Amino acid sequence: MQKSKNAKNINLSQFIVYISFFIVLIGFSVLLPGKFLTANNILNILRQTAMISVAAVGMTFAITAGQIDLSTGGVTATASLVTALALQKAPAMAAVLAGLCVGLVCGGLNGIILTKCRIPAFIVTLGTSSVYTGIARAMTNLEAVPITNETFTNYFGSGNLGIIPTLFFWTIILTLAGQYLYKKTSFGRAVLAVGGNESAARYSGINADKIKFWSMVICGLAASCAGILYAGRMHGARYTYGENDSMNIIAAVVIGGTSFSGGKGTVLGTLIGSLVIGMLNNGLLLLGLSVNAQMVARGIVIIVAVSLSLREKKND
Amino acid sequence: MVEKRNALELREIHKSFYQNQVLKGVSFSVEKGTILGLLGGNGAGKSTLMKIVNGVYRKDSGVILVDGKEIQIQSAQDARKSGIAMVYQELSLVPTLTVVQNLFLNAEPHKSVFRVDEKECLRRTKEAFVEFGIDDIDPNAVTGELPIGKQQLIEIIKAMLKNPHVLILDEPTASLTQREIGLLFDFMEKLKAKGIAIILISHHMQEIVQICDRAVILFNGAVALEDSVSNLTIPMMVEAMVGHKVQETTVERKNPVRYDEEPLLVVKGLTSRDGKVNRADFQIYPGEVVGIAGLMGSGRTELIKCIYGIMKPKEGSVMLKGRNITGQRPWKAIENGVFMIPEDRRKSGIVSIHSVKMNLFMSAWNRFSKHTCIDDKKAEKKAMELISRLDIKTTGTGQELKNLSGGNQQKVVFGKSIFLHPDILMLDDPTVGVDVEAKESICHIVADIADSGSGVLMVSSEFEHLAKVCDRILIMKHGAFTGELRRGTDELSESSLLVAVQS
Repeated sequence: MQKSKNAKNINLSQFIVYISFFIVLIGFSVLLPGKFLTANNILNILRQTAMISVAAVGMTFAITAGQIDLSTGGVTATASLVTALALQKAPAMAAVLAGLCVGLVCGGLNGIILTKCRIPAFIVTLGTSSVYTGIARAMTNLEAVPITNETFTNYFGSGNLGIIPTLFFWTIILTLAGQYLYKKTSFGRAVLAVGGNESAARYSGINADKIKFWSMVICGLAASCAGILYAGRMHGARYTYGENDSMNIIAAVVIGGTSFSGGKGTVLGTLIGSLVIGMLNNGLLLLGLSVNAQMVARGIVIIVAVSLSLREKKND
Repeated sequence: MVEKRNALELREIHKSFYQNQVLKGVSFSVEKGTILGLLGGNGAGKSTLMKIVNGVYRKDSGVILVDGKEIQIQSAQDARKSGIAMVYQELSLVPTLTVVQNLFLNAEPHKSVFRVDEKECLRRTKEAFVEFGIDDIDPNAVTGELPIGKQQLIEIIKAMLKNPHVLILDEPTASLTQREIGLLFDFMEKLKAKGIAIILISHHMQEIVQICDRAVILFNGAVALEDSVSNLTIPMMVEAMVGHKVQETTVERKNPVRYDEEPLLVVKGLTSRDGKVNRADFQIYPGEVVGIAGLMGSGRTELIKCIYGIMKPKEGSVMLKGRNITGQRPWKAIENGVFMIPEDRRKSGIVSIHSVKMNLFMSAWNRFSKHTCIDDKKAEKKAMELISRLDIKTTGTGQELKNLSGGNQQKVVFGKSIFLHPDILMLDDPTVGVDVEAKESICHIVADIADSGSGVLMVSSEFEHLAKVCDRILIMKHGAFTGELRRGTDELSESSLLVAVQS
């Protein structure tokens, strides 16, 4: 009796992300006939969502390890500005590397504070979020930095590879890389073990602090990738990029089936989860809702979707 | 009245859980102003009986009298109202509150509906301290900052504030130092002089002899022995506790211990920072199962943690095959050839939301990876092999551990260590909380591991299992070894171990 109940729950939680995907897809297609389900709009959604998808890959690692990163917004903004400033003097490749360095340093700092001072990730990243955002604002004194390097904007933003937007190409590449790391390497298994039961992981010879540190670094790196893609898509950088993305990123991960308390998840689910968020943002806009109404609607829908994904936990 | 009145009397208490008869008519009584020692092994019915007296369970039949009057105990409140107070092993004090706040928690005298009368609390606390002769505890001190022995006294005073007739203390000395135990016993003498009846539950027979007036020993749900302690000796109590159990057969071993070779593990003068391990010396030879028998608080768990690296040792050395691994970090342990199975399976042994396979290889996924990529087919095959070798009852390698029984969960934990094949495997109470059948197979698994040439260090509070599987058993007391029993030369049995740890 109990076993069958559990089995049912597992199936449900695995499919809930696909169920919400189709509910949102069909819902908006019905509400917006001829507007939502067009090739143009779909490409548009993929472009708009790329930044969230990419950052959410990293967030999947942080949440699976039982941590969280609230500083992604600041990292994204700082990385986009550093990339844009580097492009004024350096070739595209070097600028991208500079942008990634921002993620490496910011994520690393989160990880060090987290493991050395034994402060919960929630508090650490709430603090560093403010620090990183402050740095982004100070860096150019709130000025936007334009990008004129066409190689860069082509490969990391507005260009296409055939008919595929480069933004979508990067989303796929980074999701697959994340999926490989998560599912196929002993590092990925260790992340799951630490998030599932840190004490057991420790007794099993896993260096839990090291795993938490690298999970935060991956999260920072992914947020900086999002910053680079913002810069490419917008042909410039601003301190506001990514500032409202945190909620969307975390929601995408949880809707995607990653356990909010750690130890379980998939990176592919996260991609679907972020597409749900992307369709939501796009659909609400097309419905002609005011920005205020969009915010209210989005908040409600995210809470409903996340609570559906967390149902298994409550029954435990 | 000529005869002394009984503060608490139990007559023919029966209790069954489903088909299982746990208490088969237990009768005994405690007189006012005396201390009664209550002893019994695991499953003797000790805790069930106390839970009935304290209102947690309800008896099937029998009579409970307090102060000569029959009472009905339906709930914990009833027990308290009838004058029965119980102090559990786990302290119920809030560490961040002051002593006064703790004493009156949820029973504060009020000035008005919203205002606690703090002056009155303090006055009553001081009054109680005078009454019980306590002069070295500051009522306004933060409870958590006091030494554990004083916290224990506060816990007892908290129980005494309700003016009980009977005070039940469950293993109060388990986490106390020798000096603190002395203080506690002085305090109990004071309570006794005030006419309180005390029931002391303890595994330390020395303590029973030292402080109690009478002792009751339960075995298999009935009183096996009841007498004044002046008529009792420790061997008599041990015999009553073990009963006429058939001596279990020892697990047969295929390969003898290789005593002629160099020892695998040599521990010298190991001392932990908290002093719970105090200059421990021992060796383990290839193929040997060494047991550690000690009571709770003897430092047995801390010893293993110090070797494994979960705790940092202060002094001493740990040599494995001639290499110094003192103070290794736990994530280096596997590489070094040491592995441990911790005491609390749920807390530290398993990831309950993960599959059997994920748990089996948690420590060593890198052994399946080729160019960073895990070969899942190979892992699957190995997992199937371990499942059938250990006879783990599961629907498959993908079943989540939370859906397995305790015994099968523990087998998965053993699977982890078999796969790693360490030189030294350390086990901390591996048979606790698993069913009888699993206990039996765990003993065989341990023997198998030793047969493969590894050394095993096994701590257990279930002495019959130590007697069954160990080649040598070290007696641990106050962080060091006080004796050794060897298979072949000494008698290895539950009772011989019980006597050994008491002396």
